[in-house]
Amino acid sequence: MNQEELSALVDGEVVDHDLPRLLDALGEDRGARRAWSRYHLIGDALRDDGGVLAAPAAEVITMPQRRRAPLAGLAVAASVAVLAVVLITAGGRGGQAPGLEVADTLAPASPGDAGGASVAAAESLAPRPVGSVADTPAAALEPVGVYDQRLNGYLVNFNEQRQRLGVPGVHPYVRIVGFEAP
Amino acid sequence: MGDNITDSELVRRVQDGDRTAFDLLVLKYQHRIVKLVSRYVREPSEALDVTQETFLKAYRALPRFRGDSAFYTWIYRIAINTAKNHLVSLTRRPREVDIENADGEPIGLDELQRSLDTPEHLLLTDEIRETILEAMRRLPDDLREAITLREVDGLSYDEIAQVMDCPIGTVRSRIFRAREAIDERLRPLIEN
Repeated sequence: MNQEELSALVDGEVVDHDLPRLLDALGEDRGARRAWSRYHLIGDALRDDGGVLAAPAAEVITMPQRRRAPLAGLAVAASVAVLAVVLITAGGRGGQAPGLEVADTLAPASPGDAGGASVAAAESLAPRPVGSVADTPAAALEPVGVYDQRLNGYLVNFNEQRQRLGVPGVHPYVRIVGFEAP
Repeated sequence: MGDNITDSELVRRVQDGDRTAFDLLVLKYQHRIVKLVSRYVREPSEALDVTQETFLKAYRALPRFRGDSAFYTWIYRIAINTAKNHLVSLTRRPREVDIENADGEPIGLDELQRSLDTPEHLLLTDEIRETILEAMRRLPDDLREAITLREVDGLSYDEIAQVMDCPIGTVRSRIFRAREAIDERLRPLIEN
């Protein structure tokens, strides 16, 4: 196994028929196992710094309010970043107004989420596959103005986290959606 | 394929008696479990103990794991329950030392831990974190963006290819080169 294959394996991005061979090779190579651990550590550190806590969708953990901003904020902003890319493209093809799509992304998971963040709520706000954006029912959308202030807060938080990582790019899309929505 | 497919294959191998496959699951999730446990158990050495106990319980229960949920969901619950039990019974329950594997042979903490990193490496220390972030800052823009979209934003290679407007093979290469560059700085810290 070469290191690039290992990297793809860490991401679960190898073809199915290669999986047994790669896992066999990984199991036999102590150096590769250590790299496997370090590669996952790198991912954990980057997610930790970004404030995104990896957690399964099924688990609901009520956490203090102060933890909400880094948890939900980045997840939402990341959703916005992804949606923005899609919506800019969709807009050019006559798609829905970007603002409406963003508002849907920010809709709370349930009324009970108002008093404290939950992993489940954060999960509902996590980045969605590009293909799922078009399935958003229009009836569930709320006016953009309601979310302008929250959205801007999320974007500021998100950009601050990005700057810590020194990551440029993508964000011009976020600005367009976040600050120019009607 | 996705991450869960890899986990499912590893779980299947463990259930077939492949201990190395379990080591890979531990190596993959140990940092996340330590972090999760640390929310409940503040003392680092105790958090590491609870983490070990979590993996031991998981190893013992894996033959009954049916795959109805993702492996991480399953072990996440074990970790939380173990941490809560630890807090409740800290002073009155003796810690579990030995368990048995499917063949009835005792599996002690030392044996299970032997192929893993030393406990200090489980803790995402400030030094490790800062080393990784500094390495990130030094990456070329295209590599930094690719690994950020993958690790922070959770996009698939296909989605990253769309965002970055490049072939999937390029995405795979950029993410690998980013990891290698970061790992080059991280490795001496871990190994020393």
